[in-house]
Amino acid sequence: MSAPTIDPLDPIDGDVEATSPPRGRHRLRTFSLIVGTPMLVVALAFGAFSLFRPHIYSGTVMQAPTAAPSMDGLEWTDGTPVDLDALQGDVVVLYFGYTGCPDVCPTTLAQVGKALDRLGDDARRVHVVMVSVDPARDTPELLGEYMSSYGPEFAGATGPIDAVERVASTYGIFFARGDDYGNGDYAVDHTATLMGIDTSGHLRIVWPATLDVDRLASDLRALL
Amino acid sequence: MRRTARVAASLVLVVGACGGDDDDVVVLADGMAVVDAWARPTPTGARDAAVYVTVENRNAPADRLIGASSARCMVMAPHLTVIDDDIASMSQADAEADLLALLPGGRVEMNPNDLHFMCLGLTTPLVLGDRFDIVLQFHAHDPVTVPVEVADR
Ligand SMILES: [Cu+2]
Repeated sequence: MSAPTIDPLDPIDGDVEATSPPRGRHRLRTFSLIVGTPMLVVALAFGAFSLFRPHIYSGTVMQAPTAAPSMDGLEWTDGTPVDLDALQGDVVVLYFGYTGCPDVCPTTLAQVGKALDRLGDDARRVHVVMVSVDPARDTPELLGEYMSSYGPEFAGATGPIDAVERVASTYGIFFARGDDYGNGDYAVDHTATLMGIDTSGHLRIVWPATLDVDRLASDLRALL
Repeated sequence: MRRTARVAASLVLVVGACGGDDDDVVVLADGMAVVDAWARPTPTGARDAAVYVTVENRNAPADRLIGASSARCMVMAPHLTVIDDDIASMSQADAEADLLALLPGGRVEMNPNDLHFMCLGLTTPLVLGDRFDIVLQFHAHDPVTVPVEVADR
């Protein structure tokens, strides 16, 4: 934010200057020095404050961030084990969802994609990871294709159901088989928050499912 | 009432009167208006999708949306997503529910993370810029075919 420029020595536009008698003009100058100088100081201070003001996050920031729990037992869709430590230095946006999810997951992932677009080249330092809460149906192949259709920053992780359950519970994520559609297909109810892991590998922030793209983008920029 | 609605509905008056791609509006002669219909492009491998429709009753007789169908979906059903305490769940929106009621002056508005038509069993993926037809079924009005825009909103 740029501070408004105030020149205390030339405060008033031509009209006033031209019609003011010398004495009035002198008063005006004194007046503008008295009022203008503090205004300038306030404006500069405000400008400096805006520059150095800490980012106010839109998500819920952890009071005491701890290292992101291990994802032992889960694999990336290419079959390699998920090791979050290997991603240190970058920001991880973690989500739990499934490819059969028609409304909430595609809405959230599309919003995250738009937030990454706003980050430009910095988006390369963000990894969006969806852990499948439907490992029985989300094969690595399916999950991999699904996630990569959102862009190169998006990756899927899955594993045996007990490993998924253990990881979900350490992250405070609930999931359970939900509504039966009547055609053999079914929904999986799940916690739909996004979690942010910072560049030092700490679980730092939680965003609600209904998040604003601009706010997410500015939070991510601050985490980077 | 039901009879008059049917007669009115058979006189489909205006289709796509408003120009631009996004604002195709299908208005029946009696004032029932489908003002919006869109879906997100589907990620690779998605088997189901959500379609979001907004219907306004501009002083037509009271009616109710009861369902939809499309050649792009094996089955379509009205669904409601609820996010409660951060947990997202989805259930069939009962056809009798107030959610789908179209009283004169009222509207049914579908949105992401809320009310939607579930498209179960996509026959082909939905691609950005695509358009496809769905048929909306009403309790009293005849079925109405509307174009759905595949858009990244
Ligand atoms: Cu649904």
